Amino acid sequence: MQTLAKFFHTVFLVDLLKGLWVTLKYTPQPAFTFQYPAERRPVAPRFRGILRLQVEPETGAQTCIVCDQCAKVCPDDLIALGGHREPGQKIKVLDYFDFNLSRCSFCGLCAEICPTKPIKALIMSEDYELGSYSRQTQILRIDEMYDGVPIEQYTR
Amino acid sequence: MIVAGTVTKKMAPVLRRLYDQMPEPKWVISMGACSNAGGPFPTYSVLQGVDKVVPVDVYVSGCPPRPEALLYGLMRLQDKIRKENTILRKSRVIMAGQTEPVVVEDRG
Repeated sequence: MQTLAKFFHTVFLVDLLKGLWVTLKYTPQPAFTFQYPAERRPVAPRFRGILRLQVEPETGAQTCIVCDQCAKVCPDDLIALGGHREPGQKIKVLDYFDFNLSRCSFCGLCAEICPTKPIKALIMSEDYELGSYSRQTQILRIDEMYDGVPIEQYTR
Repeated sequence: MIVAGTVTKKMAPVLRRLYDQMPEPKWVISMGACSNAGGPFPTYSVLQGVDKVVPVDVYVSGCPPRPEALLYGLMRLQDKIRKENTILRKSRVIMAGQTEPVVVEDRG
């Protein structure tokens, strides 16, 4: 009896049809695949990309107050910043902001602790396309911190 | 070769041998903070950057990098390969008795 059942199982291709049924079930659904360079998957709202300095949107003035808290909170000591005080003015002017990208684990503590309001001076942007050809270009200077890292062209 | 992850100093000779056993042409992508510069492990047992052992062509930042970021690194590598000379390759070699790699014009 069991032999007969096995025989019909084989003749009517039950296992094959079972497998094909799974395939058929998923066929009408749209594909999950993103064709990356052509179309980009939107990042989550709390996504932590590369660190970026922000300016005031209307005036373009600097928002960083050189409080050094981001440099202190960084677990790997990747941020070094400094500024000076203009004579007669209370606010400090940011002189340099060196960010060593190579070790950064994108934990976001620096952006979290940044105290400036209403515009945070330091944010984690949505930019994740990071690739460089040398260790030197992974240390970002202040002019690369405002509007993103330019795509590095390879030169021989 | 894509180096993805922490390389300890004990594992470094194995990585170098693996690189030496690869047939030419060969390129190395260092993927993630750990292999770029040691990541959050500035300790005695972890190699501070995989470029101390093998010549790295593209460093992909991120901890871990998004899948797209690795693809971006591959595209950067394609850019590099397009501009590369076929015969003469500069390579970073650690000479005997030295600790830092130097750029050598021709692979002997």
